[in-house]
Amino acid sequence: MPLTRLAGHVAELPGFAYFMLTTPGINMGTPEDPRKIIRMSTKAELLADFEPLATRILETLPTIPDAAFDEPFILSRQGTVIREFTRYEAYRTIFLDHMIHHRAQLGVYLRLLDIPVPNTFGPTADEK
Amino acid sequence: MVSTQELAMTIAEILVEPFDLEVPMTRRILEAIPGDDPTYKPHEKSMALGRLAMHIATLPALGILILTTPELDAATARFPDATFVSRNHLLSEFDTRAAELRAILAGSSDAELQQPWKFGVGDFVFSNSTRSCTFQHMFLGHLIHHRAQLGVYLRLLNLPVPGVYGPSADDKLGR
Repeated sequence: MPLTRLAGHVAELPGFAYFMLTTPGINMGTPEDPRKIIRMSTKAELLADFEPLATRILETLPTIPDAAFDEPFILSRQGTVIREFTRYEAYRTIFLDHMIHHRAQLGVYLRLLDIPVPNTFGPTADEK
Repeated sequence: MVSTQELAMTIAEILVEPFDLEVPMTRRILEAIPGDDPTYKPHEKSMALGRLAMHIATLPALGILILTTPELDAATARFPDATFVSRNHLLSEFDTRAAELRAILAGSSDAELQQPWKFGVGDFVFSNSTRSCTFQHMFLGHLIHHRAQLGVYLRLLNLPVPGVYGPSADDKLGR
């Protein structure tokens, strides 16, 4: 995946997570698909897109009652169900874990571009 | 919709769910690595393929430490040897430790999982969060992180990458 699309994908994920917390499901590839796809043009724009999405999740999470996390969240594409999750599973798997996954790929891209890699789970080879 | 009361899960049950999802996905990536070139690295600063794969395969040992010890001092801790021997050895290390970790996790009480677990180097404390949060982050999250790096190594070696959260560019979507 090109760097700009991978970075955009990481940045757009908290946008998707909002719908995991607040809607019964997402039907991808239809006019009702609420997701905003981010294609990076500049770093400043990418961060400006990401930050409000992340803030909205931090503001929304505390308002979601425990019981809502057990409600179904259905991921479909053009009407075909891909998977039925609980809201909690969707949030954990296709938001948090999915973000960690693509963030790690982005770290390898940075390394290959000779750009220092910020640490995540421990020090990187750039740190003493 | 069932009531919250009926849905109450133990913390161990909440953590076993992602364990049972992520561990088999991780094994698929480990199965896909080439056994003949463990020294490959995509960049001089990158971890060699064999070592990265062994780091992943031995991560369940960290999970076991999180669940069974009060704290970890990285200055004195003994971690399993991450030297790559063969793909079979890698898979057997992973399977054995992952099975042991799953049994320990499934048998952990809410009280044990809510205890803080201190992780640091000497006097410097990185984290003193609960065992459950630490497990989620330092075992599961950490596993996902390195597994994704290994997927990029496979891609750079022109090897097929098993799909994880969705199809990879090698998977047919049937359309």
